[in-house]
Amino acid sequence: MMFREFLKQNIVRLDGGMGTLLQAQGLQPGELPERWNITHPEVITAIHRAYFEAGSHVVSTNTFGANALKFEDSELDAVVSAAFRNAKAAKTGEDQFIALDIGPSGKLLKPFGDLDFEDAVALFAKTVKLGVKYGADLIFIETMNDSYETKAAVLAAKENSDLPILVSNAYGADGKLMTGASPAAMVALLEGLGVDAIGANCSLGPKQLAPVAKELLNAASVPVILKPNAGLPAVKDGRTVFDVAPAEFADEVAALMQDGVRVVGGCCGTTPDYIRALTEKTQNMTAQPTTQKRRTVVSSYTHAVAFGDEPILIGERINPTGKKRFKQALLENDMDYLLQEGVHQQEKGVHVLDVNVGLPGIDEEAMLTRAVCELQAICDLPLQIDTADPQAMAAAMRRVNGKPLVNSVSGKQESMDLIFPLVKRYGGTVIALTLDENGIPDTADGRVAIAKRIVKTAAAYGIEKHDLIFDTLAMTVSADTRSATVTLEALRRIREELGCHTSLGVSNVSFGLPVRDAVNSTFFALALENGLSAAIMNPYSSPMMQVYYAYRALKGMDRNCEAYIAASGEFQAVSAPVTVAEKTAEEQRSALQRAIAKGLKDEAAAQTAELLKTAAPLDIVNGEIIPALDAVGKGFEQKTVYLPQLLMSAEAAQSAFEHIKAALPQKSGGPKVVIATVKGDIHDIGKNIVKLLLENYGFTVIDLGRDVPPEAVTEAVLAHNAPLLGLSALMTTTVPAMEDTIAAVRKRVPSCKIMVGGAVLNAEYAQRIGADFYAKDAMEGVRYAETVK
Amino acid sequence: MSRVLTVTLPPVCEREVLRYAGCRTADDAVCGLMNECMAELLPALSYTACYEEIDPAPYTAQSASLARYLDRCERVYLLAATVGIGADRLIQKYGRLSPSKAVMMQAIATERVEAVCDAFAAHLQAETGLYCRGRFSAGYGDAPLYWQAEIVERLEATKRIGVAVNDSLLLSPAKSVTAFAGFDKQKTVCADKCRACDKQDCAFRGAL
Repeated sequence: MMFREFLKQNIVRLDGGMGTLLQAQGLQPGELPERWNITHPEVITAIHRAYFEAGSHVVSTNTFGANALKFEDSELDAVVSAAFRNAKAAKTGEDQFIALDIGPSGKLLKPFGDLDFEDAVALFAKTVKLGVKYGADLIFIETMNDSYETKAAVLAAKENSDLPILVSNAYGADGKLMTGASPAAMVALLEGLGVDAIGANCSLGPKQLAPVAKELLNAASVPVILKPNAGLPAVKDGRTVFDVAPAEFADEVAALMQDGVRVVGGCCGTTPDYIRALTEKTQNMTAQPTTQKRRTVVSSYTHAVAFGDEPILIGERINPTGKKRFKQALLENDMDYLLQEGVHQQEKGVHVLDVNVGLPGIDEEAMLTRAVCELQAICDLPLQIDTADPQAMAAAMRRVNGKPLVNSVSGKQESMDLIFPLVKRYGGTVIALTLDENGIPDTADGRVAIAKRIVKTAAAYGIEKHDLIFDTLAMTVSADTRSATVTLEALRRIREELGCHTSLGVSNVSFGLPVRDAVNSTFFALALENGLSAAIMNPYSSPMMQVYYAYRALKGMDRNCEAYIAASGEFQAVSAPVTVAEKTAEEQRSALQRAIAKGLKDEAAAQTAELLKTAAPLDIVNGEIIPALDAVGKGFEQKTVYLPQLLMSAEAAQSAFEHIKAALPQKSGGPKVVIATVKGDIHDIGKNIVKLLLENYGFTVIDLGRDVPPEAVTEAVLAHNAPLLGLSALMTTTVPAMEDTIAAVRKRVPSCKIMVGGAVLNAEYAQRIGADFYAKDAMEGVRYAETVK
Repeated sequence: MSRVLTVTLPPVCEREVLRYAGCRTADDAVCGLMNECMAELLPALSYTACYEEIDPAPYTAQSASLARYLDRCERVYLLAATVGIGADRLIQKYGRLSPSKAVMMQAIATERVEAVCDAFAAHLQAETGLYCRGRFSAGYGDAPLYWQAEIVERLEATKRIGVAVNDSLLLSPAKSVTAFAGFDKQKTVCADKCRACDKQDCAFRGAL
């Protein structure tokens, strides 16, 4: 029987620990256990055989750490080949399977570590290909404690084999992965990717892992795996012992099998005795059938968001359409602006962020991927990838750390043929528009018919209807006063007749009308009552948020109206009159300076907005902002003002500058400075501080980020014709990269001045590696930059 | 196999945080910033360590500084401690959006990872009845920085508590520590951490 079939009908027993047994046989600390496949084949085979004899259906090859980071290609091939030879030699009967075991790479992925996502995929792919070559029955990806690395391993397995894929993660005592994912988030991600079973192993004993197992059972429609440790380790007479004995282990695991766990085994500290006890305890047990949850769900690297009765808000603000400032930010590669929009919308309470960076003249594939990667580094909301370019869609879906919303597919055959394969490959829930080759039907019947056709086509691609969310298309009511009713009727019928969830881009309805918020928010309320599951909307709109909170309170979704009451403070604050207007111009001037000195961002912004009514933007800069900043900067140099205060002032000044920028007809563009944290270094807070202060002082900063290779720095200096370059490095180990970067830039752009900074540097060292200037802090950097311009 | 320790910590020592943030004094604005940052950061942290008793001979043979530090210790442990990746996420987020918060969160997370190390020492002091002699990390004195990678590997710290080391020998999560910890029958009258250090020009040197 093939493993996939076996898994469908049976309880599957995996094996137990390998590492602890090898240590008992003399494996030394620091020695790579995978080498024992070659040097001690009889030991490895004996362990596998002992597991088969104890009742394991599956043994995992001794390849946990067999990857290209630890082994040269030829040795890797030899190790995996020997591992399969050893496992095959251990087979004792029918229905015994060999899993290619894949553990974590040992590296953390970018942006918090230095392993690139695609490099991780390539790394795992090498091992997968060898597993296929040497005859694996299935692939067991285990002990992964990061969702992103798990995704990389699963993609490598999917893209290089047709074998069944079992995935098991290592959850901590808090019931989450080290990098934050909940069991429900992992189920969303992994079921999206189409794996065959999902579970938990390592880190804890069966009792402590029980809550995780139950969460997995609640969320998963595929079989759940549980492979715990033999409890917790302790040292007794110089030896590591575990605190759960085989009988107790078997009892606890068997209890969870009654709850539905289907694939079981042991991890650290377990031995064939544990598996034997488990076999004896459970051999008469019948496999619990898996239940199909049919939930519509998306996820981020931390949590899953399910679509149900509670309305889901999808923030629409990361989109350049009609936004001058946003377009400018995209053209200038100013990611911080986009991130700011993401964080602000999250603060307003949205559940998902729509990400659209489509603009003529930019490389949308690169920009969208970058936006997704940067957003998910700082914000834990699931993302909705919004693009009409299928290539950009594919690239972004691949890099999402979670299961995304995909915006969108339509009833056009071409659209479905492009989008559905991507969903099958990367996982996703798709927004499906009820339009087709003939346009948008003007009746609800027509739109429902298209929805039915989309459901059918999706099924042919292996995509179930709970992974579709229908958008019945809000049309401008000013063009056709019947349009809103048709949209609403189609919405209600899709929810009732198809049992599918729905979404609308609400604000289209008011196009061309005055006071659009009034129309939008009323339409939003009507749509919610007609079965709207999610709205793509502007969370900065107070009337929209009022409807959201009021609706939840009225429908009994808000216990004691707590959320409504909490949010109501903000509604009132919005309508409160601005008091600054009553002050005289002279008072306002000093008030802005005071706000900057004290580091009050909102106050500085409000004062600037007020001043702009009467003063020229540049006068405010030269007469107010610069003097205030200078006073703070001098204080810092004289050590009466400390770093956090300096930065708070700088941020207040920056928020003032945002208003100034908006008021200036064309950006003036100060002298350019390229800055970067050198290759190998991922600590960039110092660089970010320098950037902030340089911008305050009017410089145009081209920020290349961190871990930047010398060639990229040189290219940027050339491309921008920058007279000044700033480099930072934190560690003694990354200073050589700084030296290389300086040499590379000197060779091609000898005229460019180079300043450096970082914890391990000093003036002498800076000179030795060829820098023009060592800045001991950000203010010194600014002062030096002023001499260069 | 290394053992994992999950600890609960005493309240944040604000004086230490301000020292790490480079503030000799704190006005209302700085205190406000510190409180705001603590409210957001602390729930995102998780305090874990993993450790294993070792025979230090292969290491002391290579480092006279380590040999001096471990002289006459009864027991020697390798330690890896962390406050988790949540700190990196928030520090990166505010590094982009509000560096003042990033600086303050760095300082808080540093204070917390030090506290995790102290909690480890207290735990083992209680378990062994011996006294901890402070810590000694790769890169101190003549001890090479690449030991950082060896310690992580030896403790399986990546698997146990999610601490990894990159090609530049930096730890991820950034607010993590690896160290040797010696335990002695005698209670060493431990000089102030800063007083014992000979880096006189350190920006974070505590008031002497």
